[in-house]
Amino acid sequence: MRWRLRQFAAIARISLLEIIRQPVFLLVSAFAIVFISLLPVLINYTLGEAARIVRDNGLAVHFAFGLVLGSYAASTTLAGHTALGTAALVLSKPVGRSLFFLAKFTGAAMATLLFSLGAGLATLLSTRMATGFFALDWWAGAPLLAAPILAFTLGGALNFRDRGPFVSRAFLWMLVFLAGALVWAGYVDPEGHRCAFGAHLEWRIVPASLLISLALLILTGVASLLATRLETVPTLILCSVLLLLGLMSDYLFGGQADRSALAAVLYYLMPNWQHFWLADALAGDGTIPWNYVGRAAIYGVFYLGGILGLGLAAFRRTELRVG
Amino acid sequence: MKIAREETMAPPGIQPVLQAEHVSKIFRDFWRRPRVRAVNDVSFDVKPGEVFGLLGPNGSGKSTTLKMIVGLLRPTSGRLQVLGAPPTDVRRKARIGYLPEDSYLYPYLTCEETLDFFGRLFDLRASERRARTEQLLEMIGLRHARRRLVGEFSRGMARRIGLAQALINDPDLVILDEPTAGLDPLGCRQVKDLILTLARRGKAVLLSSHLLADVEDVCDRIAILFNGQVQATGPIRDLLEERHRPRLTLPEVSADQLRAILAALKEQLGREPELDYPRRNLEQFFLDIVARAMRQATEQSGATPSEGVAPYLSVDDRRHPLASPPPPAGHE
Repeated sequence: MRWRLRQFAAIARISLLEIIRQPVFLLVSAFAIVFISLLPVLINYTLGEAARIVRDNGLAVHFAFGLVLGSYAASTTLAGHTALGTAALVLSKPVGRSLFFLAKFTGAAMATLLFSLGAGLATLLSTRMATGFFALDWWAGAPLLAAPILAFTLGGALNFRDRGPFVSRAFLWMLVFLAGALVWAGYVDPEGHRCAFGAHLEWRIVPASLLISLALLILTGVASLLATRLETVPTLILCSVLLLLGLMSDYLFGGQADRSALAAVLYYLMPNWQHFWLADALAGDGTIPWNYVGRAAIYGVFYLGGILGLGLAAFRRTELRVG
Repeated sequence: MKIAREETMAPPGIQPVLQAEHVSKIFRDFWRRPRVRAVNDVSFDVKPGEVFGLLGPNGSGKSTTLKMIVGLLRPTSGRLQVLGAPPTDVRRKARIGYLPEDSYLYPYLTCEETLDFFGRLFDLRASERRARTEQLLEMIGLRHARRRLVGEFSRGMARRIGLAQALINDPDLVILDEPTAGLDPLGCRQVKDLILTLARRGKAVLLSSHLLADVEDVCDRIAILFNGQVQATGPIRDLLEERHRPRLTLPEVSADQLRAILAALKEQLGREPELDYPRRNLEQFFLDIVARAMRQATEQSGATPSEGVAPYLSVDDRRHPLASPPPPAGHE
């Protein structure tokens, strides 16, 4: 059993490394984080609405880019490596297919969560940056905008020194610098004076970010299921379709569910992304209750469990002809 | 170092490590209709200490046969036994080393990470993984490139890493699909020496290759596949030897002695015997030239020459692969 756990950890770790070392992963995640960081600069002079607009847009960028990255991570680590033959090579070792599939999903899910962490931190900081009237809070903004620049510079310097992988290092250092920026901004008020930690941060963004992360995990699971039988491009296309259908689930199927059995089945089977998109609940001084987050997490865990169960069944019988 | 093939022959009467009995594989289309019969009623076995070669043109079913043996594909009919269990037994794979036809490595991992990862799959201790990784990197001549991403490697360098991962667990059954493809003559020689060393230690080696000279150098027995069927099989010496045309090799002789010998032979045979002089093997000539050049070179970006086989692969324990108790079955 311990051997199996160690194999699981090894495959999950390698899958994560493989994903975060792909240039496209750094490009997409860095673009999303820089975009969120620049939102306060782009959206200014909005008569006190800047913080709300930055928060909503930050969460939307987190959701949209996370869906792309989650489905890309899962499809590239399963479908991509099946096509490449690495999956066959690993399965020629004493590795069970179920363990392999679950470890691959875990690697993709960890990559997605790391992106979520970065996007969540950037949203918290950029919202703080936009809190003032007609003025930006550079005590939070400067370290936020500096984080990607410092990370890329440090990644490049380390690559020059020991020829290590630039992409993953730049990504991970970006998270470290964002966390450092949050700690700094947490202790400094908009006037530059020391304050109690987090007194000027909008912590109610955290449950909204967590719900989005849950949605991203579900989509990563769906992409893993599809990737057992489909190649990368069809997987990405189907995930996009599922995203649109899931967003319109209430409108397309929810209204018909009472009258049509098919609509009812589709309504319950389709992941309803509206459960996880609660930016509107933060309007005014609104908050998202933690018990709602808990219930959504239970829904997410069961949905993900079902999806992964189907994925296991599909992958166990897949013949790996390539490789 | 060149190792003699004659030393690797398996003693008779030993139980095979690998048995294929009337194995067939049919690939089907989307509607489950038979599309191609890739392997058709193939039977052979491989014993400990034996090097067995699967030969055949492209599409003859060699790689499909190997993939069935490592459990990646399921036979449509017939029986496969690997180390005393079906190929689907996951735990038996701990004693198999497999090098696929292309190396199929993770392009964004470094050399060192790749070998460490495969060592972890076999649950090797950290110290053992480090030691074996060191020895294998030395053996394949890529120690200087340990921190380079595998995706940046040439085909030959990736092949070397592929070979190293197949040996990280010191397997009892080594399955090599085109092991010398993409390698330079130096690498080919090292791989052949390695195969012979493994066989001398009692390991069974199943080899598939297009390169007939390589197969002839190392294999004890072969099977020639065409269209998924075995066309010929047997000990390579029996298949190739022309016993009705003996050839004499003389020690160094003077011109007078040679004339006398030829005259005596002509008198016995009633006709002029053929006379030729042995030439240096092109492979050996090439290796000598490269070895001389390497002694003068200071730095290289590709694979560097190494001295023989990794120490942990050279330990002459000669244990019988089937003597160790099989691990509990773990079918997947």
